[in-house]
Amino acid sequence: VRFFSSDPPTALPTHARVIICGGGVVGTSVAYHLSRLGWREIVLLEQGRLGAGTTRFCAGIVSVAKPLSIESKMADYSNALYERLEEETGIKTGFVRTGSLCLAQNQDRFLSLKRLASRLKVLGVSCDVIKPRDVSQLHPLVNIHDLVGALHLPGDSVVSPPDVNHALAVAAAAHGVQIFEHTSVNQVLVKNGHVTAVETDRGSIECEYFVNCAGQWAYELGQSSEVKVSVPLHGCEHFYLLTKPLPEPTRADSPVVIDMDGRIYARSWNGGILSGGFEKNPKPIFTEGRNQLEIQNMQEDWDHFEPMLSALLRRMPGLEACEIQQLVNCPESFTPDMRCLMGETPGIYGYFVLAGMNSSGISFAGGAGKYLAEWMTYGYPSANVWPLDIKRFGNLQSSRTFLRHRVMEVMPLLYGLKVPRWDFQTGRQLRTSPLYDRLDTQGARWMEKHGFERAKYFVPAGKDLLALDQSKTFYKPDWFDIVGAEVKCCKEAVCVIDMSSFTKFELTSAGDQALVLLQRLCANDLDVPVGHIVHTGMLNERGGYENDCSVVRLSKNSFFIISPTDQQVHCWSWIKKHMPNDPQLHLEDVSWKYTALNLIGPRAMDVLSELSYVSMTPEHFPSLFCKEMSVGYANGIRVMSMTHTGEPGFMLYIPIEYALHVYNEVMSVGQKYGIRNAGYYALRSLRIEKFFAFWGQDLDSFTTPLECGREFRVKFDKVSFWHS
Amino acid sequence: SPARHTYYLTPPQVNSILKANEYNFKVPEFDGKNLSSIMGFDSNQLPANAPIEDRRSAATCLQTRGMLYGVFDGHAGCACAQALSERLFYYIAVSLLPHETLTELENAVENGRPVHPILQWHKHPNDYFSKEASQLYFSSLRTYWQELLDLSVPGEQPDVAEALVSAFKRLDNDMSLEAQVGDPNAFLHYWMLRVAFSGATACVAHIDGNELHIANTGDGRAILGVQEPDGSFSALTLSNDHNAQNESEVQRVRSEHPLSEAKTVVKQDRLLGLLMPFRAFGDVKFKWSIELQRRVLESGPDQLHENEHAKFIPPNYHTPPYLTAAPEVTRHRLRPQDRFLVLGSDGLWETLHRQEVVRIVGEHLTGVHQQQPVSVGGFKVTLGQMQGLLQERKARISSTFEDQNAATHLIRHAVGSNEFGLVDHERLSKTLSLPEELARMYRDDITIIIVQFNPHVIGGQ
Repeated sequence: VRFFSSDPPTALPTHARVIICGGGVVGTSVAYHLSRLGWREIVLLEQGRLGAGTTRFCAGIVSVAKPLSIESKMADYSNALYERLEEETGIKTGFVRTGSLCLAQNQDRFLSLKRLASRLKVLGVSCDVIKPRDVSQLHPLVNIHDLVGALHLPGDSVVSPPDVNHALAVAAAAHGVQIFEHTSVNQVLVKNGHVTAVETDRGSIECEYFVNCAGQWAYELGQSSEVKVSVPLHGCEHFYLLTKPLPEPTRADSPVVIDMDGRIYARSWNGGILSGGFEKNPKPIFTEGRNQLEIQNMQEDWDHFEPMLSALLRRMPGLEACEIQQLVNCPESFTPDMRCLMGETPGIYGYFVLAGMNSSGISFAGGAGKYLAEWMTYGYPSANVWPLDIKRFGNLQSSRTFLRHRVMEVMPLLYGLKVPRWDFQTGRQLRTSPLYDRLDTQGARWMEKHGFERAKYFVPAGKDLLALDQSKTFYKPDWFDIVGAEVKCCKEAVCVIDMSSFTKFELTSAGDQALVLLQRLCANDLDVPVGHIVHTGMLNERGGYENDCSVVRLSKNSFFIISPTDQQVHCWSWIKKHMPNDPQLHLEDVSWKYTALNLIGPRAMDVLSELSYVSMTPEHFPSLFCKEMSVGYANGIRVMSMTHTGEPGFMLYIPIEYALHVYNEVMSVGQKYGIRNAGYYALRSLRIEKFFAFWGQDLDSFTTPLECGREFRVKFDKVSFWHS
Repeated sequence: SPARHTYYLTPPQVNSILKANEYNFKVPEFDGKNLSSIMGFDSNQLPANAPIEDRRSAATCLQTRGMLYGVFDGHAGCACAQALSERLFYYIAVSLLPHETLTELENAVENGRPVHPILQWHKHPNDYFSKEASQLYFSSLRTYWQELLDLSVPGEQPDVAEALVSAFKRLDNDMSLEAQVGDPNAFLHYWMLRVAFSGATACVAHIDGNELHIANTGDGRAILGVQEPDGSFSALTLSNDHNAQNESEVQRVRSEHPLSEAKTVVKQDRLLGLLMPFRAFGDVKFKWSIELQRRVLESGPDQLHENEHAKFIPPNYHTPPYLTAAPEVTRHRLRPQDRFLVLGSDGLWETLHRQEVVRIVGEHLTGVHQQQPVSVGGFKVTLGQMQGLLQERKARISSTFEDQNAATHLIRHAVGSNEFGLVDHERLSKTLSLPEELARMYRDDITIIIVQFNPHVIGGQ
């Protein structure tokens, strides 16, 4: 099949339904799946030749051993897709079901592999936890003397990525996808918040949908649309070694070896070995942009590769006499949280992204392409992809400096030990509460959510925690008792938790438009008296939670909406998407305007009543009410009788300039009630006890209120006046 | 076969030996800016003799601007080098003082007022000053500045080159006279004689802004590290060795004596067949007449009679003096590409080529390695061979980071480099664990001072 429309160049169409930018394995997978779902007028544009970017060089390992279940699912699907692709297209894809071996050099790693195994079993993926001597049965080259065990994944495979790329393109072309090579996208045109056309170096094409699958170039492509799109990814050099065939050539079906403690992987390649790794000191590249030629001429760096070569020779000592063929430098793109970027961008309707594969492009391409195609077809994919949704990021993760620093941490983490509750160390202290310094000097230890620093717990003066590395454990952490004391104080006295990171919107209208909109979006009844607080979900068509929020009716036509921190972009775009274009209806993000203090505990009302001279008892201030009052010298503080934990207490929404004053007053008055600072770990513990579910973790877009015992927050007989 | 027990020093033991004498000084900054042309200096010594016969000095001139650095390589004992390390910079500093300051100084001493310090020393704790001789040293110095006061004219600035020559010659002369005159204190008297009968070379740098002067007497050497536009370093030699390898120096020595002595005055590449350096302080055996030597020895303390070295008169000794302490002075105007100055005793230069010295120091100071990237090209290379090569290269870089002090790093290379120019721990360990009596046969004392320049200040002037 000839589909290279480059020589002689055929004219571009003037109109298309979908334009996909990027002819790597990801872009062709999207094209393939869209065409299979019945889409027509699909155009795929590639600036060079198909698969000339990362796809051309990547190692071609398809493994389901991924940290997230959704990722394992995508890899599992890719695996099945690549296997049948040869039959479907008649093109050899190099697919060999080799299986893979994840090795453990220590007990912690072995534990993490066992955890992976139990997750995979839930997904129906077969895998076996095996002993070292079984490893040498499966792969005689592997030195097993320093191993404690391994995980065998018999279903994993290897492919030739350029051939998979080619086969996907041929299959897509057979379904009518038009593919144009040597065609660069200069700009994506946007009108009224919708994609309208794409300007290329060979003319423009009108379109309804645009898919950015530009891999290494996705960030820059995002910047070059009329309304800029943030695609937070950054490239790092990635090296792998090719050897000449061994005297006794390696078998094509010998399993892939993944030695994460040695930071290397190795597969059989043309009778020799292909081996690369994820080093501790990655080399970020293309921070200041790039051109296409550079990726073809990357320099080898043997000195940089030395630790990985040594790890390989330690794992497979028999390779010492094996001859070198080449050291390949293949840049990969990485994202701030090592998950790929998928979905519709928050700012522009019809602008989709699938990029940032964190060097698992070949494993993910099939499944990710399928999910994205479903997303574009049905409005949402058939599985919960929130952990990969590009809307988990906003513009705040778009700084090149931030990305450069963060990916240097992310790349080594790919093979790092994934213990619970670890935090990124780079790109920190971006968003902070005005109380940050105060809390920090009182022993706060910090975590980061959506760029915002939040205290995890407070180390009491004189108490020394173990070094950071040692506190990374699968077992009881050293802060356990500290959090225990904070929880106890919340239950018996009173604690302050700075919850300023929460997303806060104000929805106002001249008439009843705000109420109408919220009644439509929220499952609960929002037509409550002024001053009432309503816990509610914003549900999608399937009844799943798109957002979990608390809405305060500030006045007849204005509402204060409080959502989880990482919902800032997603919730905004959800409301915006369903908001009528009415100049009298106004949505404002006021997250930065308020510091939120949570006073939790039975003595919270004593503290507040001393500061405001207002009775705070439940008779005068029942639960789920909001009053504007003065606290100390500061006036206009929104005090809400709720705590997000089920404990008695109050939320104080304080204009930021009063934050320090109110905090100081609360702390000094609170002394005699035993007040202390508490962190998010205490909050989590309290929430679990009362089953206050976490959106994104316990609730997602596939969970309905009925499934999580929240039907009491759904008003089934609500008058739906959005029809009127 | 019998088991062979090889004793090796561990890397920490090696480090503690190498770092025992290291010293570092950073020129203080004001308002975050270093306005001096000098950023600071690193120095270190590694003994081969026991005790070490090399000495080093570094000081800031407080009454004039500028800094002084000196490396002194003693022979026939350490006495002369020790005296130089304590005294020479005072002689130089005083020679540099204008008439007005000398007047002030003399008036203060005369009237028992406190004297403004002339030098601020930058000394390692092992760099000692003798307390007993200080009074004697001071009175000789005062006599010198009184003469300078008579010779100088108000409003005139002393010329640096002239001052250096004058200070060198004067101090050597003073040491000679002090030995002849003697001292009522028997200990001091014997000390004076030991200073005069032993010898030392001196390689001194005076740096004031962009003006660099080197005054060299003997076979120490001063090399400038120049950074080329491509980032590599090249060596610019600022001093001449005064020994038999220097043809013009041989000519000079021969020209100062009758033709009849032409064959004996330089013999077997040594002065009178005995002395390696052709210029030196002390060594009165090559300077005094035979009569003077006999007279001083006879009147000297008893210990001297047991000193075979002092009693020995060189053969073919007809027309003394054969030796001078007069230095050869080189002036250099610092340029932005001049990054550092290395002063070293011959123990350094006989183990490492000057180009290699400059490369090692340059890479250490800039943290940049001029290692060519490895490329397999079309060659047959096995994984094992590649690993060996890469690990050697890594060791080379990591040894750089092991040493905070550039002089220590240079010593590590001087003592431990293998045929590939890489520091080989085994070799380093072997060399350093040689017993004292053997060490001298394999290497000489090494003394190094590395002065780092401030290119921003130099470029800005």
